[in-house]
Amino acid sequence: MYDGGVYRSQELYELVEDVGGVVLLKSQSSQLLTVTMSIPEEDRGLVEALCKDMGGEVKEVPLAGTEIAVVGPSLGRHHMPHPICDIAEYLRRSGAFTVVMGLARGRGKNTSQINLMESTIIDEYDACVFMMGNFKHCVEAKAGMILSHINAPTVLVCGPEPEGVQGTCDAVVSGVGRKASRMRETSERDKLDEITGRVIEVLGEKRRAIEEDPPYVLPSEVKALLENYGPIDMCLRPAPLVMHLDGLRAKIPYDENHEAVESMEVYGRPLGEVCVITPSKIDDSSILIRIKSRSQVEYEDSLRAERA
Amino acid sequence: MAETVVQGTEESGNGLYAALYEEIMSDVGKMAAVERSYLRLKPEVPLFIMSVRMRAKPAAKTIGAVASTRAERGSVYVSISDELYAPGVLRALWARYGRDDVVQTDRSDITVRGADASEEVDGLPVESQEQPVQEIIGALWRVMPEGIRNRRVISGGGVITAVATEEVTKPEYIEEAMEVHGKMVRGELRRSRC
Repeated sequence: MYDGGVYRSQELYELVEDVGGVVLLKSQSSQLLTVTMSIPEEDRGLVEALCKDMGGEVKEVPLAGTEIAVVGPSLGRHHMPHPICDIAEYLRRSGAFTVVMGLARGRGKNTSQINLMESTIIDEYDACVFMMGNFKHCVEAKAGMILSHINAPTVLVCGPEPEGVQGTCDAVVSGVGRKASRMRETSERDKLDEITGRVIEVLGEKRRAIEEDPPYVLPSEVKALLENYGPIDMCLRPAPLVMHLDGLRAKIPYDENHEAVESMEVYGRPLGEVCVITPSKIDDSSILIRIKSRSQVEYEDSLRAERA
Repeated sequence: MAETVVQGTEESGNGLYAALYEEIMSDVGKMAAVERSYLRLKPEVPLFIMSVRMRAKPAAKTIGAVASTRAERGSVYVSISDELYAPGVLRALWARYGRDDVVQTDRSDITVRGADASEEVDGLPVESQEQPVQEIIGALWRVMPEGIRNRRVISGGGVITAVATEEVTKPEYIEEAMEVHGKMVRGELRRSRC
């Protein structure tokens, strides 16, 4: 990830293209620029030299190309902004695109709940970090009530070490309960590093599962294709295209654009044939593109051939 | 230094809650007004009782208590000594003299045109007797876990006790809170010393 000034950034984009790399995410704030990119290892020195020359720095970001939801039981001041926003910030520093959200009725103990819409929205992300509180009893009860409904890989972050939560989440990080101020002490920062580490591990497992049956096209190839699409080009949202491990999110309305997106060609085939294109459950403001695996495309081709 | 005693059914949660309580109380600027606090935490019920014994009985505050005033050539110059009360001072002056005649020259200095004597300004109320109590109760609600919304407050004898549960407040919960309140008034429920 390049982190520096916007001056001469065009040179960086050209170099990334020349070495066969791809820009995953650009984020500009005034004169400051952050570019998450994927480049061949052998050309790393070349890119690093240019970035240094531009006055910026380059660092490795293991969570690049992922979108992660950091979820709290509510959006109330008891749960936000600390430590949820601290966790999200640390994940962003590792290259992830993060979204912070709270459940509508997640507060309380016996009345805490998650509805189908909420769990479906969380499942749209590559992974979820779910934040709970200081009481072991509550954490254990809520893990069963809430986390068991989430299918996305989940890291549970809470105060005490819970028991009997296996099967409801993929990893647990304890020692981070409810907080009223920023996590700025060394021990707290170590905990944030630990959370990031566990998210990397959990996503590593998902990556390995995807590699066993790789997608028909790479998400970065679909991204490159969509970048030239007018509504994406004109979209004013900070990151109109956000990559996932198995696809991407395009932040344009589904109803108006899905036909055009489905008919785009990739390797001589319409995108709609090699991807599952659905509206996001958040609202009609974005399109979710999940790339089918090679075996799935081959199987569907064989079914089509049989029918013909 | 205020003493905070936490008793609960979960050892790990007790320590974390004591830190959280002290952080929130300091955050709202009320830790100095608190002599002793007692928290009884029963998350498995769930039942939370928080009792605060104040150092002194809260009294109403006037501008004279939080600022120094000086009358000169038809104006009164107010210099706020405790910035915590600056919004209250401004509010009181605006209400009495109108916005046009109250000019805040810098962060802690205000000029009041049309005031005849500094005694007149000194006597304006900035904070009622009830306000610090309300602020402590507000801080206690912030400390309580979210969703524990069925709440009662017992006040008297320089002690404020809040009891909260998630669903029905049973008579035994109130009795337990009354017992805690009584002990706090009598100066019991202290941290045991070795």
